[in-house]
Amino acid sequence: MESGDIDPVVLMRKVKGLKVVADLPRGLRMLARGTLPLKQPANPGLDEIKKTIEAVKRKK
Amino acid sequence: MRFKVAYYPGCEARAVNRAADQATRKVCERLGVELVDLANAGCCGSMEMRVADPEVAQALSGRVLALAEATGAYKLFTICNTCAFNLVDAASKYNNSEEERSTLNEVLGEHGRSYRGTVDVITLPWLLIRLVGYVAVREAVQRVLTNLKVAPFYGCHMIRPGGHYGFENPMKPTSIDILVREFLDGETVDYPAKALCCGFHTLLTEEKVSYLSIGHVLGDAVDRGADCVVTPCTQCATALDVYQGDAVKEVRGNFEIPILHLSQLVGLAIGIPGEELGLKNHIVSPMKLLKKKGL
Repeated sequence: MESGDIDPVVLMRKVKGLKVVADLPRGLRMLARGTLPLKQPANPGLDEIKKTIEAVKRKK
Repeated sequence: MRFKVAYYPGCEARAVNRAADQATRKVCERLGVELVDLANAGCCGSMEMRVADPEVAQALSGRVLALAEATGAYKLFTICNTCAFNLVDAASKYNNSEEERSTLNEVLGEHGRSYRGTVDVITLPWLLIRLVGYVAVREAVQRVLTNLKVAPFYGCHMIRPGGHYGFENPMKPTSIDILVREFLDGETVDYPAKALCCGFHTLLTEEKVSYLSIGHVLGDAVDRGADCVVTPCTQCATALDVYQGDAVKEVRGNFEIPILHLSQLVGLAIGIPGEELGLKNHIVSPMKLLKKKGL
């Protein structure tokens, strides 16, 4: 949620750790087809999204 | 434009499956549906966060509903089944309980937002069948799909849990079959796996389980003579297309079948050129098949 959206590359890296290396060939194929962004642009609502999450956690 | 809906493509369409977003925008423009993008919309809460922290996930969905309501549209349209699931779930909670809405508004109020509980969530089959309607789609059709054998794949979250939606039978859905056959004059193949799971949500943690799910769905469609699989969900489309090679190996198969998002198939039928529908971005290219079928 670093960009305000689910970033598939970051999510994969965090969940799979070093095992993500095995997904490189697939990632390269996706890059070649233009289906994988090198870096996901941050959502313009990122700050509000983060504060919304914090507010829910505070109210628990 | 005939009517407007708030549009929420979801993270998958903003990152990986941008082709589906591109095709949806073209199709809606052609059919007279004005899509109003939500300013600063973020994640709907996703399945991952829903599991990790359901309260946060529901609040994020509530925020998306509030953004949709602020556009003045009463329908929030999404092309991702998981987004539909989260948003329908949140809408059923916040639209029907003043107490829940008040809790949400305490959080949203910190940013000057609020939700009055007026938004309904719809997916592409609902938009085409219920809002655009048979006559308008038929009038727009320019290409005959008669030669193309389509395997509709519904995915889980657009139809289940059944009590959330009430649009169609959660175990024997028919909306895409009706759209393809009656609205677009196409041919569908019936196959048992069409309402099963695509495996998307276990891809990162239980890869083999996902591969078996994908391989089973696609193998079933191929066995019934399908030329392509069509789904209304960006995540299902990604799982079935991007992971197809490994999934087919896992089930010891030897086949390849193109996957189209429903917006792409409708786009083809109403005469939008393939390059404007993102058809060249697929891992399993549909171009050869479409050329062969005169599309």
